[in-house]
Amino acid sequence: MKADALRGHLDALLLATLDGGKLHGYAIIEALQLRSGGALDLPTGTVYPALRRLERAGYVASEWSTVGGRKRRTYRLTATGERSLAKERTAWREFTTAIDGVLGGGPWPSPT
Amino acid sequence: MAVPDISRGVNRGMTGHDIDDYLAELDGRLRGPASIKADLLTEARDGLVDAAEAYASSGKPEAEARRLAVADFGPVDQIAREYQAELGVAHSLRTLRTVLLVPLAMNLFWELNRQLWLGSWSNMNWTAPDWFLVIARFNDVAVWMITGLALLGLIASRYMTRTSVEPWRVGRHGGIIAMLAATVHLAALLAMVAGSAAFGFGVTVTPFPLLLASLTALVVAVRLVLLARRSLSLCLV
Repeated sequence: MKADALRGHLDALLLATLDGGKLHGYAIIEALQLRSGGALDLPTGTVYPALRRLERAGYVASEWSTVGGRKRRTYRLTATGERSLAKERTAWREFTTAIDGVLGGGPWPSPT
Repeated sequence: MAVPDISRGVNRGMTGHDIDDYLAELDGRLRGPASIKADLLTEARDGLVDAAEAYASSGKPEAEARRLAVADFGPVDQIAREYQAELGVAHSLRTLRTVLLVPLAMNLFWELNRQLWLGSWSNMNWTAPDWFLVIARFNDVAVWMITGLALLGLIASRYMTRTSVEPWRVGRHGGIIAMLAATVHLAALLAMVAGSAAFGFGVTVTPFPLLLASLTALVVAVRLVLLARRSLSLCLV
């Protein structure tokens, strides 16, 4: 899946990776790739500014901490971020249900 | 918050020419608050080293692992644009926070000085002309206008960020509001200076500590305008 298709969903995807707990930047990228089965293809360098943007929005909080013996910036969801993620999930389910209703059932029977 | 110093070679195990060159090029293209820039570049180095290590552990030779990590990170033109937008927003927000607090603090500082060295206006053997009182009142109101504008700018920035407005636009709007507020502040102070000059500065330059407080306020006001101008220049597309 190409970066352009992802752009509108990147924020929600990043929030979803942090749902299980705090992660550092590269672990977030790995989680995205792992959960998508490698289908999410975007320049990894774009993830870091996106995380800063989410922090400015108040959806994530970050701190420098030692992970595996190295200093890393780790991110975690805030309460506002959790609420935003829940809203994004609901909106996504509604969207996919609607689209699947039209596209998902195979060829439509021809009108007689 | 302690930020690792990238110059001291944190996470340099997998660093090589590719990663160093890439980061040097990125560094050269970014302008903005030094601490935030260093923080962004440190995190970028961490990410590149992590990616190179992941490739190396999957059996790639080190040089190729580094090259692949850099390739995955993205073209430096695109990445620099996104990082620069973040730096621009960070500068704008910092300027707005400064504009929110400093004019109010300077006003308080001047008023305390005035009360300390001159006492109450009503106790002074000095009658200000009506036009000067208008300027003085404008000065008092302007401080709250400026504070309100800066607060509005910060709230609007948060709202714009949450509604997925592009970061450079958020920064630019913040910079414009900061510039407006800082200009009103400077104009109000200059009007006071001009008003005082019209009757030979009289009460506002004696005693000396009050003159010093007035000069400090003026210098700070000019500095705020320059800060806002810098914010605008950092938020160009």
